[in-house]
Amino acid sequence: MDISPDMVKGSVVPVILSLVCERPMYGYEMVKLVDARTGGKLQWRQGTLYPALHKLESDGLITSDWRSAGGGRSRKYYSITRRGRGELSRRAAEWNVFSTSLNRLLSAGGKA
Amino acid sequence: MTGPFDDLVGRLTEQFGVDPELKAEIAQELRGHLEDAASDFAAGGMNDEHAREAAVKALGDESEITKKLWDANRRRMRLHKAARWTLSLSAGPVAAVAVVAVGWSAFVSIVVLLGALQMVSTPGNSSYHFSAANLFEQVRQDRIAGLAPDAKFIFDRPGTAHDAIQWSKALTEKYPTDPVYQSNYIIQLLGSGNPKDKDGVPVQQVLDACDRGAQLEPQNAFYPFCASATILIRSGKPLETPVPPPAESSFTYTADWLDQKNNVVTFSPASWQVDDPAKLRAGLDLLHAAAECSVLDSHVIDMLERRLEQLPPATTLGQQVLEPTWEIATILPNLNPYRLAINVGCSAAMDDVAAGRRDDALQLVADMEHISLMAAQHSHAIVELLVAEGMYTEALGTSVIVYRQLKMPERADAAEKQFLEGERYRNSLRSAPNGASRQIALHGDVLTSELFTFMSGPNMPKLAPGRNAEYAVIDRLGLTMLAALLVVLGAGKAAHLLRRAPRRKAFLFIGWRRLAQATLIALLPVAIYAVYAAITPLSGRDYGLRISVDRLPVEYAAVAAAVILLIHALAQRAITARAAEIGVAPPPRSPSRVASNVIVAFAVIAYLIIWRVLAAQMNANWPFTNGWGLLFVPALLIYSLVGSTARAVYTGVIVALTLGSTLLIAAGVNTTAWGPFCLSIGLSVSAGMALLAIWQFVRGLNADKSSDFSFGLSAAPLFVTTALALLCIGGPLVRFQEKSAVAEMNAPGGSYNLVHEIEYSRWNGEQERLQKMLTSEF
Repeated sequence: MDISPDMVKGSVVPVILSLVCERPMYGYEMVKLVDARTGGKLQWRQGTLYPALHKLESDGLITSDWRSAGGGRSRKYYSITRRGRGELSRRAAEWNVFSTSLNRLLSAGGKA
Repeated sequence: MTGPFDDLVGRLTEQFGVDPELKAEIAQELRGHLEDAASDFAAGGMNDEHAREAAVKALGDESEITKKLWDANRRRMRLHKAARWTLSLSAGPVAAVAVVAVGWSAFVSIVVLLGALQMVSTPGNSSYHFSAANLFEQVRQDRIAGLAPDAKFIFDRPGTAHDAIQWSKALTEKYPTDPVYQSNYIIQLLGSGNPKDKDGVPVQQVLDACDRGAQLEPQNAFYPFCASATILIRSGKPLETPVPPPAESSFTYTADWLDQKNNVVTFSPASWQVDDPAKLRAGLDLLHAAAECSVLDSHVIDMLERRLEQLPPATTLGQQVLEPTWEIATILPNLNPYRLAINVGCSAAMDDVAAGRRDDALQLVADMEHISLMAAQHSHAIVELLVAEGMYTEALGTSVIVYRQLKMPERADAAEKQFLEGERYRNSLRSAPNGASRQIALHGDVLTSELFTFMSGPNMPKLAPGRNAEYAVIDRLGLTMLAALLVVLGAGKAAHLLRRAPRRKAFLFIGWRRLAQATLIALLPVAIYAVYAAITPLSGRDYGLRISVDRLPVEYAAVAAAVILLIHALAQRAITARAAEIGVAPPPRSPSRVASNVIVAFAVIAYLIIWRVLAAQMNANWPFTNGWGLLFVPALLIYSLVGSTARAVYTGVIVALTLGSTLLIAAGVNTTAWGPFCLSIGLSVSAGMALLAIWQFVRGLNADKSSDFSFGLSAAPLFVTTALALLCIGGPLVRFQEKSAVAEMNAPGGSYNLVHEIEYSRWNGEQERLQKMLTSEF
């Protein structure tokens, strides 16, 4: 079962923050990791990842630096900022409340 | 750089053209993503073309990405546009203000230093007024701005003679019983014109003022002596050809202090042509009345101290060098009439002898000796003591002739013995090994070495404070000139922005962290120079500015060249790294210049070592303060700015300059008079350098086609931040150095106190010697 685009869109920010909270990552690495961890269920439109990253950087939630990738190439790595960690905690708590509430509602509906 | 995704990436990022760096960065990020994705698809079994198509498809809808990228970076784009708009409006005025401010600071430093020189060499000279007076007037106004009205009234002697008389008269009216103000009024009257000019000094005003002074202090010979001088000077005129004394009465003495080949001098009394015998008689009567008094006190030091104590302490060299002008205006005006009165008296004594007026002649020489010794006894300024010493010598020498003419050999021999004793004392000071005269000339600040060399004695005043203050001012000058140069170079590189071209090269920002690091590293040559100047003996800062004036431009130019070269190297490294990060072609690297840098550094160090070695052997003519060092300045600066071919030429020029100076010095060639020649060559080459730099800049605009980014434009911020850091860090440091040194100059024993304090042992000794004579004779 595919996840609807609206749900995917709503998850981009917390997912990015959660990923870069683990370690600095570049954009394509994030795409690959999400794909691997969700078994391909969470299909990002890859091109929209970068505007999201730029917006988060502009808002001061993440920061970036260029690192050599070998072979004369370099990659832009994103890291979470202190403010980003706060935002991630807030979003995680919000998601917990939301998902718990939704689960309860859906469970009640299922029993009925 | 071209690749399979360039068209797509170009369309996605086209909208960011106004910010080429952002455009390149996003392009590099998207290109890297597509290449990684295509590589993964290819690894999954697709051929290259299908893999690329799959990567593009996975990226998503092109128009949606374009819109979202714009939305995400909208804030930066707006800021960028606003900054660019602001820069285009403000860059010109800000640069103009910066250049004017830096130029003004440099001008002030130069004028303060020149003022110190001119004040002692050409006071009243029109060129002095042109260059320095207006600025010093501002310094004076700033210093007295906070004074209370009464304090300002006492301190503020007007500049013109007429106003000075009104001011000094007003002081006597406000404080009618104070002899200090009465004496000052008389002195200002005496200083209001050339005493030889019959209409120059208001005679009746002087006589009236002397009468009032005598009523206040009946025993002070100052008042009748000034009245006597005023009348005697108007009794005739000096003879152009002095009348030599009769051969049988004459005597010779050795005067090493004259510093000439034949130091053996035949004493000859001053000769005066009397036009008005009545005035002569009236003047001599007053002279005798003065000799009847018990003291001769001009109160000039009391007046000077009253004026100066109104002021807050000087904190800058500019304020400090003003003080001698106030001192001179307070102390000097009465001294020339003193000297002239004794000259007239000596001539009159010789006339009395010739006319057979034996008693008059004897009385007159005795009066003059007594007055001279009283003047010495109560002198508190070195210059007063010097004049009194000269008066006494003149009177004593005349006494020898008079006694011999009157057949009084014992008294003549005794007077001659005293005369020769004084000369021996002066000669002993002059010929003392490593005497103060030479030490002051070599190690004193400009004012002290100009003013006190001829007044030197066996003991040293503190020379370091004045010297350090001058080095602080010239360091500030060097610092501001370097900052100005860097701003001009940065502005020159940023001028690329003004170019209207379809493919104007873009600015690549190296990042704040790199900019800060590079700025700090670019300051290293200045920091190393500061340490070198402060603690190493090679720096030559134990010599005064007059001596090191040839060396400092070389040092400053070498530091400036090192800073410029370092900024270029650092900028190149940072720009290359930044370009690599975002995957754009960096501007081309300049060829390595390590070898030529080493050669130039050796040449400069060799020159400085040669200078240091020879400074120790310096003689009174200072043969290598010849402007030679100025030639290094354009050579070093051009070297730091030009490309590889011209660099080889200028390396050769710098080496040739070092070799040339070595050969000239080794050959013992006296090049003292070469200053104007070297200066004109230095200025001509500097003008050539400016043209060369402009030509190189214009040529460079079109030369580099390998990168979309301009090296010069991208390096410009580093030039400007280095200039700002220099001013922000170095400025307060040199200001602190100047303030501390000026405070030391005013401390007891400081060189500037020599102007008005006799605490210098030579003068103590001389005053004691003269006082002893006064006590023993009278």
